[in-house]
Amino acid sequence: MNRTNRLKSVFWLRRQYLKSNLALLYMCVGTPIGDFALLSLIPKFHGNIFFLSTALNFVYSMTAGAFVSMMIGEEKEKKNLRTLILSGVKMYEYILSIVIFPFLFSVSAFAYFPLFFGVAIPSWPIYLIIAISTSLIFILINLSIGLFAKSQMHASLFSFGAVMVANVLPILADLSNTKLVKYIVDWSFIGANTEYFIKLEQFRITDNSILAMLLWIVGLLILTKFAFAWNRKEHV
Amino acid sequence: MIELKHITKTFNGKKALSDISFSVSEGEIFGFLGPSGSGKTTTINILTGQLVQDSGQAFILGKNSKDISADDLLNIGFMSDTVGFYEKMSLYKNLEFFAKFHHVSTEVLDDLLRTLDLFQDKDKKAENLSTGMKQRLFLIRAILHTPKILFLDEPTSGLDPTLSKKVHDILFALKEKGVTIFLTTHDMNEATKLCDNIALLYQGNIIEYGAPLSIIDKYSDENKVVIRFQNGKEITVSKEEVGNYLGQYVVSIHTMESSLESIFVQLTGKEFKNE
Repeated sequence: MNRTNRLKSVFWLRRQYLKSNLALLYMCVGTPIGDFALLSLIPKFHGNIFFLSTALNFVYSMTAGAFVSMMIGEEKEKKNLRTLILSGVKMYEYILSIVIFPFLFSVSAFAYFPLFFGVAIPSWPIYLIIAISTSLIFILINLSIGLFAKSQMHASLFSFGAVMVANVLPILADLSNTKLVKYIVDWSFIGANTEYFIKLEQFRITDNSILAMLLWIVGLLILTKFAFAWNRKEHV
Repeated sequence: MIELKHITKTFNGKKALSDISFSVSEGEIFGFLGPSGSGKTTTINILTGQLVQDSGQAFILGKNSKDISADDLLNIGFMSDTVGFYEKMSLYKNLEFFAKFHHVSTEVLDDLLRTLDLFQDKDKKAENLSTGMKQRLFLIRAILHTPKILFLDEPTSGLDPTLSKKVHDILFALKEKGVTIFLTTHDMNEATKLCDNIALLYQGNIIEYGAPLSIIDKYSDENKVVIRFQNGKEITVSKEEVGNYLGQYVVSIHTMESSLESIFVQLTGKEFKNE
């Protein structure tokens, strides 16, 4: 059977699913836009890098993150994931269909947000590498959350934990200079992004946090593979 | 096509399947009959690679069921209550995805919808479908791509006799095309009519196996008759004893014919119930 045809059909299914679940789309794509709208009401908003970083954390947590886990959570709850697996949908086909829209929406957001916020990005290639990798980490974390969760509620609850960490760690890094906090932030999944917005033009691609980011991606890819295989079996 | 050899499966210390062995040939309609909790779903889950047995071997499409891949699953149709559908999408969109995925033309889908009286409801949101409509949706989804093996769990449950007849015709047509059908049903008449072979399952054990009519013949006792009295009472006696009861307001006397249901009761001492 034609691989392209199968991929096209799972993407088609995802489009139909989102069209019929507009509430989910509004919540996961609309929240960062709403956050941006609220921030723009604050005086001295224009050119403020802290606001840009805060808004991007919303994009990572909601558009790249919660979006994924909530979709999978619902599919597990309604037995659609089991149906697709039993119909012969492969792991990569399912995962690509799930992540394609969250990824595209996230890329659009972090490509346009610096322009909306009027922030001059010192190095666009480094900014894009970090933004894309951070989105990927959030997508992978939420893929695992969704694949291990029993229901959409369950998935939302765990996803909220990742949202909390993503929003608290940068503030903690900003307020505290202790070695322990720096170590935790550096090696966390949001470390490279946090370091980048603290150091800006001083940030180097050889930073420890980049290595940590790569390790997170590899570790989460392995976990996702395991989580999907786990879903192929019935767990009594 | 399907072969099980000495399959045993235990859940929390309770045996769900106990040394189960049988085989199903290509193009055969096989009925797997048993009350709820007898091990039917466990067997299907082992065959489709969703569960791993404690001991024994299960083969499907010439492969060990433990090694079933996504490509193998493309050749298997599956209809059971363990699968779902996209509630907020229409009935048609739900099925259109599977038509696209299996590269089946929408004409085939439309024909099946018309045959099973669903075409006029194709734009209904799936969450608003009645139980019978959902049942037909699941059936169409399972057979749309004419798989090599078809697992059907209670395919006619909730359907009226006319629709049940249409489902039977579809199953016979699939059999003609060489599709192997593994069917679970609580309707013993349906099993007698449809199946080439059946297995009666009780508490994880196969208590009888073979062609339905052969099994019925095996348990029929030509020397016994059933006498029905005016007060509604029925007794079973040997032919020689009939004379003793004549003149006692007898309404009818007929030879004792077994059915799969009565055989099940005879073998287990329990009524055949499927909650």
